[in-house]
Amino acid sequence: MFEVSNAIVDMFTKNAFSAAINLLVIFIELIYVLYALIIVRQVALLNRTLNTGAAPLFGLVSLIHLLMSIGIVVISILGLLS
Amino acid sequence: MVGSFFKSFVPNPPATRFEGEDPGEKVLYVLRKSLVTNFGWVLLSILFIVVPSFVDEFIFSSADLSRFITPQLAFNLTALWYVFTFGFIFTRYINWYFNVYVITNMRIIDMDFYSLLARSVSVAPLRNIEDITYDVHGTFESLFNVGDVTIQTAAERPRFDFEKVDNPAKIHDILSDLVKEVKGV
Repeated sequence: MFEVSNAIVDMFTKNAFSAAINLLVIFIELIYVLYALIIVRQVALLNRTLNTGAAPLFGLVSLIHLLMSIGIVVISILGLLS
Repeated sequence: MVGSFFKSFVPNPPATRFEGEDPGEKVLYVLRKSLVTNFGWVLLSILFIVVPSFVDEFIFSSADLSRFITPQLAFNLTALWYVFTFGFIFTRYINWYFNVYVITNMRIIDMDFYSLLARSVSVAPLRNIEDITYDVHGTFESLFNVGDVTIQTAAERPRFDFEKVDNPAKIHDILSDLVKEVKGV
């Protein structure tokens, strides 16, 4: 009996806490995706205001940053589901 | 090629256009704050890059913490941290790169991007420039030949400050010559 209740407490503290932290991390990652989207938009505006030869590269880097931020959200969700 | 991404003084920049450019207008110089002004955030970025290795060591050496932080969670947090660091470096660099002072054959333009969501662009025709001064003060500025060029104008914005630019004496000379040429003095 003692072993069972201990296991339940252990499961709750460990798994529930880890799951809560995982959900919190996913929430932060989603907010970061919005921030990455703003960066893409802003870089496009900056390139329009001052267009140098580097404009396509800046646009590409901002898109890579956005894709990376989306990628970690996907990895986190898959990790939580598995 | 890579060097052109870190230049703070660009004479006759190739393929450079700006919003509101007039026909016949030619960009003569693009100036940015001195590269050494980026020292603070570059140092911070290096710190951001090395922090996870110390934190990982701390977490996995602590029995209590390693019970709650699974390898999957540790991976997610580390990945988020590095994407955040990448974003931080990129936005700080972009902020430096696009905060420019443009000198054309017709006017000077001060483009300020305070953050991702705030910007201001001020323009003064060269013929409206009345006085140009420069000052270099402080150990850091003297060491790296960095200073401010102050331009008094008769335009809507009476004062332009080219802050922390490399070789302010040279910029002062270039502007003085351009103003003389435009005014026919």
